[in-house]
Amino acid sequence: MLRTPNDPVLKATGLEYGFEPDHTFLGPVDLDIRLNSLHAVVGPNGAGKSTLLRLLIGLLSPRRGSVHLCGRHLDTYTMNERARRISFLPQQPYSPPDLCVEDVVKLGRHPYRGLRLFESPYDLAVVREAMQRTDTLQYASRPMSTLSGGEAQRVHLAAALAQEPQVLALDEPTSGLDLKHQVNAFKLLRGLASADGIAVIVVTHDLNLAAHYCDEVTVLADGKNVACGCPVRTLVAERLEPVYGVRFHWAGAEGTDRRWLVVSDMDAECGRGRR
Amino acid sequence: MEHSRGKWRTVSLALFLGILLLLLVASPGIGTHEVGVGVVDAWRSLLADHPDPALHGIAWQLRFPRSLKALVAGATLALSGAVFQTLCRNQLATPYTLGVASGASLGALLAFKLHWVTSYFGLSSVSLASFMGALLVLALILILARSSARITGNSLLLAGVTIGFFCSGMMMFVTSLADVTETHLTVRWLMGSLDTFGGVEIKTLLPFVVPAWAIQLLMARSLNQFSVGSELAMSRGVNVLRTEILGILASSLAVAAVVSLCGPIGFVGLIIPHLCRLLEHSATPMDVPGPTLRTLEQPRPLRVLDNRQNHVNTSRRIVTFSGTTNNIEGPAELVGGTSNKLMLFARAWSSHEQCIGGSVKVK
Repeated sequence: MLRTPNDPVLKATGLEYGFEPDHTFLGPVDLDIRLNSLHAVVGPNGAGKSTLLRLLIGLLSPRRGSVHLCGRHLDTYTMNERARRISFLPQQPYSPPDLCVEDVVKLGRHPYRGLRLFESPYDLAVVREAMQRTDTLQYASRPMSTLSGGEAQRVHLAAALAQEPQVLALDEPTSGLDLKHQVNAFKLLRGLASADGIAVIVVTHDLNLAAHYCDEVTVLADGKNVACGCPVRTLVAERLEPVYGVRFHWAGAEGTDRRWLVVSDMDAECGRGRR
Repeated sequence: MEHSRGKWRTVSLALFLGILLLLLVASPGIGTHEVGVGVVDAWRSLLADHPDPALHGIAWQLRFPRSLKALVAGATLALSGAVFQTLCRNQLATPYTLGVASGASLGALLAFKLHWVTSYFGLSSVSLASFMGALLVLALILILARSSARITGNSLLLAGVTIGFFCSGMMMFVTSLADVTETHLTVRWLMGSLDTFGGVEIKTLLPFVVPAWAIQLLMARSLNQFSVGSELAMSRGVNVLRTEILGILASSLAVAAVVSLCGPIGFVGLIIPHLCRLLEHSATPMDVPGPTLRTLEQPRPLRVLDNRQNHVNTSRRIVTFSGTTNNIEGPAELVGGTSNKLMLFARAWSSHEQCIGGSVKVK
């Protein structure tokens, strides 16, 4: 159980993972995820972000180290118990073309259904609410094949919410979405963390969205946790430049205190660019 | 919307179960009118103290057991097809594309060719050989597909199709070694038939088929989760590896049992799950209770109808084939024609009467 609100709901200690026996791909990584917080994991391709996410939610078993969920070792949970606390949205979930939207969301109730033949009124209410939250209710009866990428993504998010998780883990939920949907997705995640008290972990490539919406950011590079903390202190140019191999500036807009990361290549800054 | 869909499920389920029951009740009386055994005669002979032995025999020892056989075979093939399609997340997956049925056929054919006729615990050698063939293929495709850490649908299919080709080749080879009579029998059997072959009785296979149904139906909900990908299924508490192994094993054994019972019939396992999904409008191949039950019941009308022709076909020594074709058998022939045994179909279509029954019996 959580003793105080500040105790992490997910606590990873010394996590290590490798795809080959003699090579450690990730770790050791220590990480605390708290309720009510939106936690971003950023880093270049191949840094181990997705692997870390899967280790945290028990889809992969670490070679060394451990993950504790609510103070209990993750291995001591049954698969169903775990599924009632953690839900997951992979980068490209498969959309069964002939299944209708509502049925896909209902699939999220799996850990609660047991041997009951039909969904209970409570199940249906949860499904309905999840669809309302994600703005998918209006096409509840449409087949998945008729949806756009952004719509399908929201349907899968609704299914993850229907699982009533304490921890929601998302792997690049905004990849392939247009700008408006990217912002909306992060706004929704922000709301889930603040209003619903869920811990949300999101793997993302968008540093600006992470900076604006997230409470905490973990920067991974070559499987190591190089920085972790609030975005203002974590996402600083000197720290990011060696990780990404590009030049960063913070640019502010007139009359606001919001700032954006602007990217240029390493040479441009030193005046050695072609133009 | 929610309400009307639930209602449609109930109504369509009741409708199809009703049709099925009707066909089953009528089936002892359906053959050709020339035999003179109608539905009423058939049921009267069952209830009478001293029935006419010929009439009773035709209705209750020839026709009705075939209907039951059709029912068991259709249900098993359709359910197994649905399981394979769901696990591989591929609409082309069937017991045939996975090679399991080909393995079972090869086993049965070898038993037949080598005159291995015995029975153990009531189970005939043909069935045993089918089981062995299916299990051998299963082991092979699992080994081939497990080259990476996880079994994926596509690698399973690739391995299955490869082994399936090999088994088909071996079957051709075995057939080529046989003499004329044997070849004729073999070809007849390879066309798929509800006739008795190799002394396999349906009741000896029920201990394999019925538990397989139970397993398939019990895992229906877990299988549903595969429709969004195995990783997502795992995150929702599905034991992915166990479901895969158990589903494939149960379905393979059930298919092997059916193959030993009535030869290779590919059509049912492929298309019935799709038909059910069309009817369902919105469903995965498996969902309890609607589609799954329908998967179970759907093949029966088809097969029972089919049985009518088949009966005429096999008992042509008693009657001459009347050549009646009704509306339902028409489309069935069409679908049969488009399927993998196009050649056999064409041959059956063009040649003598005894094969007309075979062409209707969709492959």
